[in-house]
Amino acid sequence: MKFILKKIGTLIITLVIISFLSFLAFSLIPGDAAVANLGMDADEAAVEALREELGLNRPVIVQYGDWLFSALQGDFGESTQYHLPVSELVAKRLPATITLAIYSMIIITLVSFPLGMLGTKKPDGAMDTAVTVLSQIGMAVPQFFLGILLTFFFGILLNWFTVGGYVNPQEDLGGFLSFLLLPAVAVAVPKCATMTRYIRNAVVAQKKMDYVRTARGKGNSEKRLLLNHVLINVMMPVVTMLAMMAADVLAGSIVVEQVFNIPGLGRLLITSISNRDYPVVQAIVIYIASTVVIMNTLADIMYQKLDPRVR
Amino acid sequence: MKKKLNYNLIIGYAMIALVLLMAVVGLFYTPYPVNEMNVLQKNQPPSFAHLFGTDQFGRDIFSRVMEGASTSFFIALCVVLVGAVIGTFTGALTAYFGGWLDAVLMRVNDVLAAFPSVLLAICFVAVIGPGTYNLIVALGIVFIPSFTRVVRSEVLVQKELDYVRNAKLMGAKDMRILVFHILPNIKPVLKTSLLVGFQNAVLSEAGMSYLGLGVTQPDPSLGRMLSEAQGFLWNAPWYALAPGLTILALTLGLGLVTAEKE
Repeated sequence: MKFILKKIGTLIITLVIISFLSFLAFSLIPGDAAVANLGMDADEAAVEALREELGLNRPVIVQYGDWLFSALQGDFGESTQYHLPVSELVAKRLPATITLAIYSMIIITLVSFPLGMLGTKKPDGAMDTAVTVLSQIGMAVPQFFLGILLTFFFGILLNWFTVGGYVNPQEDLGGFLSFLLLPAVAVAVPKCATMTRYIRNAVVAQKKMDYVRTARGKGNSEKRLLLNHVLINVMMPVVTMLAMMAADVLAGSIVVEQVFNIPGLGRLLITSISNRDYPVVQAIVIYIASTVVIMNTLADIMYQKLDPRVR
Repeated sequence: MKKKLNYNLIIGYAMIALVLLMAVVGLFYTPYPVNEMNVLQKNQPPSFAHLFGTDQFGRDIFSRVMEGASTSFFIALCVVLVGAVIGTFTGALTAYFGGWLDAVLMRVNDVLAAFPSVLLAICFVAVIGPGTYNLIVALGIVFIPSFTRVVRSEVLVQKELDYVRNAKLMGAKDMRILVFHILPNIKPVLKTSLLVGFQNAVLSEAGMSYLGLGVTQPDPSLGRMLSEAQGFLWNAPWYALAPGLTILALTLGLGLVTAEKE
């Protein structure tokens, strides 16, 4: 319990630092909201008056406190481009990104376990080499290039889906889910490769341990040995690693959303950067970073709970 | 006994060498001027005149890939250097001296590491703007934490070993011990981190340029070529293939070499 409280304490401190740094960074950019609202060649006095009105002349730390107070109530300010509340914009884009991330996590879990164990029956055999080569290629391919290749093969050559034809989940949930499958594959492949390699190495290392020899000596079949003895021991670090991968998956979806033209958080982030719509950029950056930190803390706590040796 | 040939290592080095050759030659010579447009030669398929075909403005894709490869190499090299030098410096100092500076820097490091690297790089570019040198600064900062962490944990182990105590007894100054005694001993670990870092830097540069947050017009960049090529997948699929496969050859080569060195 004490451990969990300590972890949560660290989490809160980290979240405050992250949000403060992001706030500071975007308030350092030349050309503030007052200039953005009135235009570059507005009257100096008018800009100054608006600055006073918007509270931009106060010390950064006071502005941050103000921002944090409203942010905690779900108010992240207003987009300078769309003149809509930031929270509303973000909420609209959230489903696509979250679905994409969950989809990718499912693919990573479903593919990397069997693939990782496939070659371990005979380390350095033909099957093992094939898996290793495959995972090397998977780790090296950039997600957006993979996305483009998938678009070309499945969208243009085979015509299985409409390129760039994103389906709104409210209109057609099935269409939405099937459209997101290929993007999810593009996000998942490099992570699958890393995971497969990790599981493969862990299984091979575990198989050399004494307890495996004992279990084999007692007459367990190789299959039972792998599933009941080795896998339990490999599981622990793998579950933690999966939770840590959430960060990479979210980062990957920023890029892949661009490839498949999916209106998610990533696309909103990129367009907001080119529009200099900093309240939106700030909110998304803090949102993604916070999600990652929270996931990592959960992974830490889970590891603690699952593995009696760490307690 | 004859040493067994290591195919992975050979293939890996060959792939890196191929891209490096393209990049180095691209610095001095390209078959066509990279920005020369030719409306009569738009979206040509690969031929002897244009090895990888031409793009939507009739520019020679092979020449642009050569230039793009050298941009990628240059940026990735700078990024890794910035990250490695600053990371090694902070990692070694904080681990060796400890104290409050160590605590503070590690906290900062944890916060930086909490951001997915792409997101952090995007943040920096959003603040300082795109462009080759800004991208180097942004990615360089992003690459610091991983080096700091590796060097710090290594130095923490090394500084307790007998040879360091011995050197101390002989009257060596702290900086001398760090630079001449400890640093040579963590070289192998640093080498692997450099290789992994270089691969990540190539991927990040390509990703950022693809998103339009990296190398700006008119400099050719492999990542930006891919984003332009995406619009022509229907009538000129080879356009996307050329820069994509070049990046893949480089990262795969680096991956194979890293895997063998570990």
